[in-house]
This record gives sequence, structure tokens and C-alpha cells, in this order.
Amino acid sequence: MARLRTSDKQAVEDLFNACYPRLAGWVRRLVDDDETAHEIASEAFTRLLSRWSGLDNPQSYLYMIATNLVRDHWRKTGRERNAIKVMTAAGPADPAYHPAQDVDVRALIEELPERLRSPFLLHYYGGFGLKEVAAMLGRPEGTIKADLFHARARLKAALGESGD
Amino acid sequence: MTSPHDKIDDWLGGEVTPLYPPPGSLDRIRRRARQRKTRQVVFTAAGCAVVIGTAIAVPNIPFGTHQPGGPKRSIAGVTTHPTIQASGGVRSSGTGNVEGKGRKVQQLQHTTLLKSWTAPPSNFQPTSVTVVGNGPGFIAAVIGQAGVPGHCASVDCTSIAGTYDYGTGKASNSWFGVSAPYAPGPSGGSGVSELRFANTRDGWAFGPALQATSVGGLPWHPQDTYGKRVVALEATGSRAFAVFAQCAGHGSNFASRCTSFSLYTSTVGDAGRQAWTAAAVPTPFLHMSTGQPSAADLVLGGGTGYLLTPSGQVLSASLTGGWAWKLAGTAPCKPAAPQVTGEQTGAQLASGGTTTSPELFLTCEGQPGSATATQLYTSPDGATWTLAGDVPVSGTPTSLASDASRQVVLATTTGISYSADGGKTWQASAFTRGANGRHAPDGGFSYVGMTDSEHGVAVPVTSGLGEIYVTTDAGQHWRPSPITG
Repeated sequence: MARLRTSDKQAVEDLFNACYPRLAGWVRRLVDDDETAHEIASEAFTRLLSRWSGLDNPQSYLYMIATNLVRDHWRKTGRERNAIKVMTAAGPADPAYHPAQDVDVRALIEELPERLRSPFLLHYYGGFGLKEVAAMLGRPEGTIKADLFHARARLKAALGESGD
Repeated sequence: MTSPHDKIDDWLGGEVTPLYPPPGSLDRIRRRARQRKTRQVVFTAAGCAVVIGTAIAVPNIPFGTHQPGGPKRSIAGVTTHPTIQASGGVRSSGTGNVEGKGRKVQQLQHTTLLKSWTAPPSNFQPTSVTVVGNGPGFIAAVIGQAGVPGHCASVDCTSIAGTYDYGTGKASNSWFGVSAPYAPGPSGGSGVSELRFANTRDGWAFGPALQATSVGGLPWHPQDTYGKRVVALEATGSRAFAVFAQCAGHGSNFASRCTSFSLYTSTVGDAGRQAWTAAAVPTPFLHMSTGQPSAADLVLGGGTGYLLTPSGQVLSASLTGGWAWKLAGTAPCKPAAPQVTGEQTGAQLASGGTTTSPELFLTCEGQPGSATATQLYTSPDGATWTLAGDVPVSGTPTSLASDASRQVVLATTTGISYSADGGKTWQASAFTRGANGRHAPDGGFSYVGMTDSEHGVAVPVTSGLGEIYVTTDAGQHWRPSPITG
């Protein structure tokens, strides 16, 4: 297997230095745990390097991977939470559970449908523009705009219902 | 009671605090990636055998290599830099035919700065602009902060935005984010507020602290300034010069109350390893001081660097070799107390002309008995100065620019004036300001620079406007370019 060329190695190092701290910080805000944030950021870079030569926009790829890994992490921790309290919409409501008492907005974002959650995280949290998010997710820009509107509306409604 | 809307906005608007990798992280990632790639090669080889077999069996099926997204690139702005032939900037500089403040620059063969892949933040407040290259393919880069007043004194909210068309093109989002240094806004001896790039890789964020990059963005490396504040910086293609000063100004007035100035230099490139050292100046100018708050001005152009000292003397150095500074002469006036950004409000120096026929321009506050408040002087070498004429401006001069066509553009606290004949006659520039007609922004401009005889940029004193001004007709008209993503 051909190793990375010297120029590529330098490019990887540059990208790592440029992007890792912010990516890991971005993930930490979502998972609220330094160790998990490092694991996810490192895994994102590992996957990036595994297919380095075929990428046109490495930074977008990094954030897409990280978004998916965060989603997987939430699913895992959600299952663990569900072992002690029912949180799904299909299940009986837990009168003791109020979203705002959990981890506020982050917990509510976990509950967003995938269709709304990815553009929400990439746009509002990753800082990508509408066009970039649309390209990353393969959806029309207008759809992304509508998804962001609906995501915010759901969060606002949920926070309102939580008694704020 | 906090409304749900406010709560969401607060949460979304929170700063992302960088989480730096533990030592050895990149090496571990590389090892893991190599292991996975090895496995992928094995799997891919097996898959290829199947495909080839199918093609042989069904020869009419065309197949080939498909590369989504066109030609492969390793990473935009990092590995695709071709050889830099020349560089330039409105306030940064070039090589070969050395560029400088207001000089016409050779077109740069470049790619781009290191994009952050995020749009410029909302509420972006520009404080400095630099231009890399000119003509088709140039990049204008603006540095500023994006927080509310006072917020950025302690929070790393410095941002950089770049554009290929001054933000005036048809594309609605022509400004892109450039990975900025982790730094707060200027406050006393910390933070950064100004920006220079010698080329698409080597740049500096300074004022009062100093950070440097050799990759067109992150990582930015903090530079040792020996406890001093960086109040001016310009660069050629291979060497950068900066004025380090001892100052006592507080808050954003970092360049005020400066009483001692020294010229430092560093080679361009390898920002993480290079140190700034005292430039080769005559001994009496190692520590320049007038005993009271003052300023110094530095310009590079026409193959020569010029330093206007606090006492009004002019040092010059050839930028094509040696970089040894010598006393050239005495200017007809001296710098005065600086603005917030470090620009002095007394004398304003600019370099114009050509390499074979350089020309310096200097504005001075009117002499006693003069009919006007500001006068323009010219000099071919900093040694002898000639009064070109009076400058009929009402505000205080803040910045001066020139190019090879003997055009002189002067920014003031009330607007911009320009001359097409080397300062003999002047006209006031017109401004386009939305639907309100034509007027300059309140407070005027802290900086003006020309990238060629037609194009120029200006930074309003009021950074909260979130825009710079651009001209495409030699300074006759200026229009705002809001820095938005």
C-alpha cells in the first residue's frame, strides 16, 4: 500500500492542527465529555485519512463523520437512559421528565428526527452555510432552510412546554 | 423569565472552546488509518477481480474511472499551492518588484488562504484589511472580531474573512471564512486587530500581540515580542519588518501612550520556528524615543523600505538584498499620537512611483500661516522633500495610499479625498450608502489602500458597521461591502 506522499503528510498535519481543536470542542458541546469528544474526533480523522486521496472537501467530511458518530453516541446513551426512564414518544410519558431539566437544548436536539438534526448541527453548530449543508447532505438549499425552521420550531415548542 | 427563543439563541451562540489533542494523537490516528487502508486495499483487490471478470464476459459494457467532484484535490488551500512567484498587498507586500503600501502589485499565482469552511460570523467587525495579489484571482482578507463590545477582550473571537471580488460580485456569499488565530480582540498588551499576508501562506495577525502562519491560516503561532506591542508590520516576499513599541495604553487603545519604538525583522516562512530579531538599523535608532507618546510609520515599496521615526527622520533600506537600514533624511513633519488601530494621526507616509522612479508621499498638518490644515510633500528617496500642494480636507488624515500612476488617496476622519496628479489637485470621493444616498460612514476611515490604479479598499473607523469600502474607479466612488457569509 502506498503511503501518503510527503506533501500529503504535511497537508494532513496542517489540517489536523487547524481542525482538530475546534472539531473536538464542537463534539464536546454535544456529548459533554472530553474523553468521548476526543474519541469521536480521532475516529473522524482516522476515517478521513483512510480515504484521504478521494476527498474534495475534507473538513465537510470530518464534520459529517463526527455528526454521525455523535448520533450513534446519543443512541447508545439514549438506550442506557431508557433503561431507567421512558423517553420515546411512543412510550408512556414520564411525569418526572422535563427536557429543560435534562441537558436543555442538547437533549432536545437528540430527540429531533435525523432529517432535521443533521442540518441543524451542521449549520448552527458546525457553522456551515446553507449551500454547504445542502451539498453535504445532498438536499436542495430550500429544503435545508425549511428543515432548520422546523427544527427551531420544535425546540422552541419543546422548551415552552417544559415550563420555561 | 427566559423565553424559549432566547434560550435557543443563547445556546447556539455559545463559543466553541477548542479542545486540543493529547500528545501523540496524530501519530495514533495515522497508524489506525494505515491499518484500515490496508484492509480496504485487500477488499478492493478482491472486488476488482470480480469487475474485471464481468467486463471480459460482457465486453460491450463501458466502464472506467469515475471521480465524483472532478479532479482530486488533497485539501483546498493546503497542498495545492503552486510556487509563489510574487505577492502583494495593500499593506503587505511582495517580492521581486517589491510591493508595499499602495503599490501596484504583480499578479500572484496563488490558490487561496486556508478556508475555515464556515461563513464569516454574524456581527463581524472588521479592523484591518490586506490584499494578496491583485487583478483576477486576488484575495482580500479582513480581520476583526465578532462579539459584542467588551466581549472580545477576554474571549478568542477573532475572525478572518476572505473574498475574491471584494464582496461586490454577483455571488451573494462571496465572503468566506479563513481559519483565524485563537486570540481575543486588542486589549492593552494582548489580542490582535491587524492582518498582513506576504503571500497565500505566510501571514501575520498583530496589534498588539503577534501571531504568524505559514499555511495561510491555522495553525497560527504566537510570536515572542519581548514584552512589547506590535504597532506596525509590513512584509516583502522573503522578509517581514515590524515596529515593536513600549506602550501604556489600555483596552483597545493599545497603541496609545507609546514612548519607545524599535524595528524588528523576521524571515518569511516557517512561522513556528522563526524568531523576530532587531533589524540592522544605525545604533541611535535601535530604541527610538522622543520622551513623549508618539508613533512610527513603516512602508515598503519601489524596492525600498522606509521608516518614519517618531522624531521625523527617515530611514531607508534596500529590499532586494542586505536589508540594512540607513538614515536617508529628515521629513518635513513627524508622526503624532496614534489612533486606536495604531495609525498615527499626524504625518501619513505612502510609497508610490516605480522601482526605477520611486516616489514617497507624506501628509503633514499645516504649518503656521498655511491656508489649509494639511499639506502633501513628495520625495524620491526620503532625503529631499518638495511641497506638492495643500490638501483641502476637513477631517484629520488617518491613512495615505498611492500607486504608480501618481494617484494619491487620503483617508480622513470625515471621508476620502483623491488626487490624480501627485497631490497638486484634490477631489472629494463620493460614497454609496444604501438607500440613504452618498455619504461617508460616521467617523470616517482608519485605513485606505490601493491595489492598483483602479481598485482600492478602505476600513471605516466604526468597525461595528460590519463592512469595508471598495473602489473600482481609482477612488472617485466608494461603496460598502458588507462582510457576510
